[in-house]
Amino acid sequence: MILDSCTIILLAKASVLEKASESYNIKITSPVQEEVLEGKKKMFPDALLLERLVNEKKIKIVEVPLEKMHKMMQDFNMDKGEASVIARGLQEKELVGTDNRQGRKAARVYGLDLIGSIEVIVSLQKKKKISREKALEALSILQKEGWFSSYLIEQAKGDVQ
Amino acid sequence: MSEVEFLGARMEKEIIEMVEDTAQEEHIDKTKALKELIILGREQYLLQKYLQLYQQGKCSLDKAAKMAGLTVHEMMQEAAKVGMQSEQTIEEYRRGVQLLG
Repeated sequence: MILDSCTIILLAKASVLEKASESYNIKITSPVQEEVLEGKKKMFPDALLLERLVNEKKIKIVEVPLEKMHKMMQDFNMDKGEASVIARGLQEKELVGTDNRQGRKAARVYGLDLIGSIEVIVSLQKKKKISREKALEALSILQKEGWFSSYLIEQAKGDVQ
Repeated sequence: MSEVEFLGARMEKEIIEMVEDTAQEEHIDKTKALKELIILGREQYLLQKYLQLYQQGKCSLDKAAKMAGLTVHEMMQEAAKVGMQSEQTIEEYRRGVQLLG
């Protein structure tokens, strides 16, 4: 799966990014890496974590189809990070992970298989890679971040066995 | 900062008082106070403008972050602060869980 900056940051905040990287073949593009690592200047933990996971090869950097990326940037008014993820998803028919409205819109337009950070957490628990308590804690963190509706989070909490 | 140019402008008394109050509070001269207020104002203006564009679905979050001079992490925080949430539906969530197996 290929993830964008939003999803990387949210999974890091929920303290499940490393477990996700061990359970799934997570890829990012260089523009996404750059976007997240900008947070190093402000000592954001997600930036430092991503740097470590890339160095340990738990998260791989993959190539970007540049022409498709530029088309996404133009058509959807995206920057390189988001555009590169959609472009890569299109080119390689990969599962796209984004919690960004515009990214999700583009994924729908092109009929790409799409996931978000909530599904990753629920899936990790279903596969017993994290405990029920850990999954509930991660979902509560996402709820506090305010990025998702309470209704969606409660549905996900209900699905955690 | 680059070379200095002169910019003359007529302003209401209330705005001049804002500059004077800021200068006094920060123990700086009025010119520096005015510059700082302009820079802060411009930052706020860009943040609001690009948050609005993001909310209207006219740009992506990373584009909004870049144009407002913020990191993606910071832009996410700003968007959440003003109540902007993901529009992901329950159906999309269920399909996503299915895809991950």
